[in-house]
Amino acid sequence: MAMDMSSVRTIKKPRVTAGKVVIYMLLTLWAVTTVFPFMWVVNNSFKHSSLVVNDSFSLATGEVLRYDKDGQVVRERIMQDEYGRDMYDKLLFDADGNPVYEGAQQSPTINRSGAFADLLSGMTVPTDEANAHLQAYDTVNGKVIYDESSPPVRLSPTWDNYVSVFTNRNVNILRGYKNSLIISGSVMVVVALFSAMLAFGITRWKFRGAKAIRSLIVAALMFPAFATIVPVYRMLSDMGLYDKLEGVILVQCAGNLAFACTVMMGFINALPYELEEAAFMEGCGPYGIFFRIILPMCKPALATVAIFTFIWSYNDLFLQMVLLRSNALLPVCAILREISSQYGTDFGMMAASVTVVVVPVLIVYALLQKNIIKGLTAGAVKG
Amino acid sequence: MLYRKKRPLLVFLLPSLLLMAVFLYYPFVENIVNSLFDIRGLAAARGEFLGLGNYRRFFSEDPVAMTSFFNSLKMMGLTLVFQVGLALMLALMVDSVRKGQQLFRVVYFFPIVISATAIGLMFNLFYKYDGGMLNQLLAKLGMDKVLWLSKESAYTMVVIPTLWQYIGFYFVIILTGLAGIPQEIFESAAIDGATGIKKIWYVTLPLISDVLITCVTLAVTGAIKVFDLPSVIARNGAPNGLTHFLGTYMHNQAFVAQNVDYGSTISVIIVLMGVAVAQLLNRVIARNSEALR
Repeated sequence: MAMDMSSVRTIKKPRVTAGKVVIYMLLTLWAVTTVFPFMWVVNNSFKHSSLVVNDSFSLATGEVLRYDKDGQVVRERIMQDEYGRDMYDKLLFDADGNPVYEGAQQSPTINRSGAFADLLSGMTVPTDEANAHLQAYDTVNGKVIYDESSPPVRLSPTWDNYVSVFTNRNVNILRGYKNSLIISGSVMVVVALFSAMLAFGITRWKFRGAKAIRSLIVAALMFPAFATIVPVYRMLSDMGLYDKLEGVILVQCAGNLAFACTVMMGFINALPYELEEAAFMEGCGPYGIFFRIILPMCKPALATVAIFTFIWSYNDLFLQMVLLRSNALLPVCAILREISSQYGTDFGMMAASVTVVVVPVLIVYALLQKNIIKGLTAGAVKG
Repeated sequence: MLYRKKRPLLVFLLPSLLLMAVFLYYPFVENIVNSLFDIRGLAAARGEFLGLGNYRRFFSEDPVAMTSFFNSLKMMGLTLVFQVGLALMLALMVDSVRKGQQLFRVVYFFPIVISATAIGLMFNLFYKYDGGMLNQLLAKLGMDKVLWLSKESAYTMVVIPTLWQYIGFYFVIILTGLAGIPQEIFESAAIDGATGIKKIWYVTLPLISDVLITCVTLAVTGAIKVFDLPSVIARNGAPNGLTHFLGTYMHNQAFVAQNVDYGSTISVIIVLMGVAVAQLLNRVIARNSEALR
């Protein structure tokens, strides 16, 4: 079949038509909408918040901020002179954050050679005062090198946002990761194992009530978390499991089992009996058969279930929000929500937190994309 | 002979059944009962029996509830048109080109693996009035700043990322369906003179109707459960509860305002809506497939 398809394809000559070009343009446009937002965030996570607010589209290449003699804020672009020393080209900004190049208003490009003279002649500061303040020490090539008298704040690239994300006492993302891994990892393992066990039992034994259990499982697929959360919350409080990781794990396990059982029942039902019969003849009991024969054969279905369960659990904000309260126990999503409510105006830190959460997922996605896409869509179609 | 003993059966079934009984079936029933009583506070016991009083309140006395109800209803319609519709168009386009299919799949799908919370935070940065990305873009184009989350536009602004995130999901499902159509059918259709739009309408779409039905069902039932993005972008239905959905309003009533009985009522309404929509879709689909025969 695959052979046929490919031969058909090679017979048809690929033609470049106007229609194709338009289609590729539209497709690329949509790709831009999915990729650009994340690139924007990553780029801005390396900038100081004041720079994000003013100029979020520039690349996070070297820029510093300092106060000039009049206490005015100036931004300077970091460059290196031919001796490898930092030198700064001065940029002034108007109220809207648009660059104003005083003295060189006709040409918005930075005039590196002879910049010192240009800048000084255009500035409102009298020359000798400026000289006193700005102590240029390399005037041989006519370049400006300011002294360190007003310590510069590095605007970009800067790791400051990441430092504040990782060292923040109230919202500790690393701890959030740990909590997320504990919760979602446990849910994943428990759901995969239990659902395989139930599917094995229901497809292999003949007993009254099997049909009822099957329809109960199908019904459970329709239960949204909203419909069980209040009683669950009250129950966990009574059991002393409210605001405990175990509580969230139990509830998420129950919520994922219906879907997982459906997938596993379909898969195990289709497995051939012969191996199990042979194993039985060799003296293997039902437990041995399950662990040594069924589980190894279920690997593809288990992978689907595991991926789906993990991602669902990891991204599920609702249960995390309702069932956990202590900062120390919050998983990543709940932490993110906290950050947005407490530090919503710190654009750099927000961008860094999103990056910190997105990048690991992105790496895993890049490595496993085929399995993930298959796992999630297969799960949806069956669920 | 092999699977006769009952004890192992119990061992295999009990863990799952126990978990689901305790944390799914029992709370589900209890929740319905709760919605009929007066319960003030998360730890409070059941009070007076109200019958359908809470339901009456939802449909006749609570403007925010109505807003959230219609917001969720509108959301269903929008997912139908924009999620499934756009996904279908993208899938048809990707299917028609040969190079880069895999790349488009990977790129389109990837917002789905990102948590909605992170996406919500990202859109917060876009929508901010002072220094948000969209307003910076407007400034670059020489236009005035816009209050993106105003009364008039907040709903749209919350809906856009919700729709955007999941388009890739339906795209992949539809694309898989398209790939399953045998090439011969298109060849014979081409001999019969079907090309372009005609081919899509009379040949392709009927052949992937099963897949489309799945997508529609998933999209519409998913729309009722919307929670994460609205709760991050517009807290408590800001402004003025205008961006509340059934899910966020349920959370607000049960866990913020502590109107536990009323929250339960809203969640029962969510379930009923889900069942009703699923039934309706099944009906429509059954009628259509009969008409095709």
